[in-house]
Amino acid sequence: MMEIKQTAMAGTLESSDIQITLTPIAGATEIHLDSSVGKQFGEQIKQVITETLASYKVEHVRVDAVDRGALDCTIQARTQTVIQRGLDQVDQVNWEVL
Amino acid sequence: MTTLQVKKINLQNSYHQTAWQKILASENLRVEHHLSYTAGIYDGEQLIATGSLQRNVIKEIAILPHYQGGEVFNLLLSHLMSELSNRGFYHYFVFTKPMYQQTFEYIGFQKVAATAEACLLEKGNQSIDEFVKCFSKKEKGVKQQIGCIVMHANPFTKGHLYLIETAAKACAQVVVFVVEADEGMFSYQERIALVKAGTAHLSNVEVYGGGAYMVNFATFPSYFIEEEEQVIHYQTVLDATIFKEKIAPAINCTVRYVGEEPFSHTTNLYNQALKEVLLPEVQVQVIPRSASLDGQIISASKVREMIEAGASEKLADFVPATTRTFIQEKYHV
Repeated sequence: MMEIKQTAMAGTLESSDIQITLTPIAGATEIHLDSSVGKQFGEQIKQVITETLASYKVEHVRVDAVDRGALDCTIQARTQTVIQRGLDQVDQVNWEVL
Repeated sequence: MTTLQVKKINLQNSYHQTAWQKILASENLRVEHHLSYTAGIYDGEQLIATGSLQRNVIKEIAILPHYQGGEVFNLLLSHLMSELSNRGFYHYFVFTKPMYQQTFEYIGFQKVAATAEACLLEKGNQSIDEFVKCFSKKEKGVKQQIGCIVMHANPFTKGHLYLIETAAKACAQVVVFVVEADEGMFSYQERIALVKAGTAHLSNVEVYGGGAYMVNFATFPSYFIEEEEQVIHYQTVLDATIFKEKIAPAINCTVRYVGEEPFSHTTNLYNQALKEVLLPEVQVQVIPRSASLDGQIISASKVREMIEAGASEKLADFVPATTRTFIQEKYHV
């Protein structure tokens, strides 16, 4: 398991982007999503985030995501960035999971 | 609108400062000083939007009418939020007009409290709902009074002790919150330690930190108000509203105790605002100040003056033994 050491943020609130904040917590992982397309794609967005967290073996985090209609590849990229920042490994990218 | 550019505004430069003041004036915002960071959005050469940070508070958001409603706002707020995270702030606030509450909720902010005139929202890794979970909820008996006191205790004096003891006699339980803002001579850690040490003999008193939510004058901006008096009123009413809606229900508080304030105009206004907002759900008890043996009113500001002047003779009359020992150790007074 990879331990998130610090709160981190990635992404913006601009159209077609998603802003993700990751905070270490004691309990199980929670995902809080605000999305302009939440009704149609909320579950899918959460799934992309969940899968990306799993590929890094990240648990016990609170994810706050504000989505502005991001595509899956964007969601994945922003999640990877926020994980690397939270792990404090911005300059040691974990290429294997990408 | 590909020509939009986000830049830091250098307010030392009078050309940029004038443009910034003009855009604030167009949104009826007061020019504030002591800002930690100010950003601007430019369409070509023209400044069309601005927003600032003061520590962990977003303020002074102004956007020209033509550019309002979406893109520019999102661009500006994204920039300010990444600037906040660069500065290590992951819990931040917006203090704004009630009409903008929804706009901020839409980008992930949550309301802390709103009054007729102002609205405070927060976002990030802490929230008031999480904060109030830390307190043990008291039994709600029929005749059971649960008292609450919020104090700065800079440092903890016999006056504070008298206030807590008075409450502890009248109530089944007393919860004391110590203001966390570190503005004064004694740090928050020192102040709360002294309150705990000075009240250790009272079995029905609990001491907690007030978090970001109780009497945080430094962080409650008030830029859209013209007059000082109004500024204070706004902030105190909002503070009282947070207490009434969030804090009091979490501990089943039935009565808030405050010390009478003969010297400070601001505290007087604060006490007034508490009565205005809390009644009738929560009672407000104003306790007269206690005096030292020779009839001097005890106040923390006098204690600080004595420490600064190195005048130790009367310190023991003003502060409990626990605080006295600490002052001796830290300041050798």
